[in-house]
Amino acid sequence: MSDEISPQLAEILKDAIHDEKVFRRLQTEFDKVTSEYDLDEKDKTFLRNAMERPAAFDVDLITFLNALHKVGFVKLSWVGFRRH
Amino acid sequence: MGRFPSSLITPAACRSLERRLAGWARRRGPAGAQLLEYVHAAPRFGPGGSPGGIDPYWLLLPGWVEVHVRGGAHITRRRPFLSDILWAQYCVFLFVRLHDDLLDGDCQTSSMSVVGCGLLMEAERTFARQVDTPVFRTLFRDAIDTTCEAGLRIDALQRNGGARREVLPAYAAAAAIFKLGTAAVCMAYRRTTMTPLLYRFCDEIAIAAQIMDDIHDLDIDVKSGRINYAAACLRNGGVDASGAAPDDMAKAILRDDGIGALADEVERHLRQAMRAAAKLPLPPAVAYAEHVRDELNAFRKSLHHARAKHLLLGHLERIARRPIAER
Repeated sequence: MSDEISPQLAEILKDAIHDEKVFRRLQTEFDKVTSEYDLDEKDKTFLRNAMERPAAFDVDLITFLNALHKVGFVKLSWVGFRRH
Repeated sequence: MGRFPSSLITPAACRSLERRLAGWARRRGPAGAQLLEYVHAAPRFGPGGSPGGIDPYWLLLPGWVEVHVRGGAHITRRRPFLSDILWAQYCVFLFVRLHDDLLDGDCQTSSMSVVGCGLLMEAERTFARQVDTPVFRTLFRDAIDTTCEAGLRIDALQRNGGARREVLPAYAAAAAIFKLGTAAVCMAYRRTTMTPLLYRFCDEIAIAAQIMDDIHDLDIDVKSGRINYAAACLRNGGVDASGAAPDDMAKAILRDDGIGALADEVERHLRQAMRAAAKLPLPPAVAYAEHVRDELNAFRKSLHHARAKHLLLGHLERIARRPIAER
């Protein structure tokens, strides 16, 4: 598939990953956004499946949530003293 | 926007607390040594710990309020005033935290229960050195009672099908002890008119912080049979509390940006906190809430990248693994 990926699909994937607004618009105005990017029917099907396909939800949530720790989660608890 | 150094509590204030704790623990022999072990084994946030760690508002607010009420005037109160207030506040916190950990099984040294009670007495004595009034004594007792009762209420809600919106006031109530230091400063300077807005600030920050903690502890809580607020929202009502996270929670996180929606809710509480602090006005408190919001936004951005990559690129990889005829 990676060999067959169209430049339009590559563009929309890049934008949706980096810009939450694009991703949200894809969820709410799918047809409008995909036509702005000039996606063909095959690419549209791919995107729809990617965002809604149940098979995508077999993710191990532990791994996913552990990743959140790495991004600097806000934590206001405090027991031990800081070492200045 | 206000600017904050990464560590908001001064090294001197931190050393003072640590020195007092070490001195207090020394007088309690082996049990005191176990207390120090417990404190030093606890995760530290900020430098050397989690990059998103932020100093707790309840150790900062008393100092900000004192500066505000003094208005640059000569310090009339005895010098150890703020040091006593922070130490007393920390003792109350440690008393509650110890019992919470004993209840959860995170601390299995039973003598810590007695040590915790000693800390509570130390807090009462220390506060009394600075604010010895019947009103404050009542406030002190009520705050401890409110926090302990709310803790049990939250536990029951989480273990009985899930804690939805009704749990949020309990989150604020559970943090009642964290108002004591600030209340003591207001009473000592006879500025109790400030307390409603300060309490509002504390309540909103406490709710925001607890929702963030719930997201952070999502997996641990669900696996131990607790449907915390975040889990209940993601699970749309709270169902099976056992075993691995089910599909609907994964869908809520990945497809529907459920954690993003929770982050929006956290932000609403932070905005309420900012509004309360701005009305006082207490600029450091406003900047503090802004700082937490900035951290939250950075988290949200990273979450989006992780989520979008997982859905979009994950799908791409899955398709690439399929035989060409099936694509």
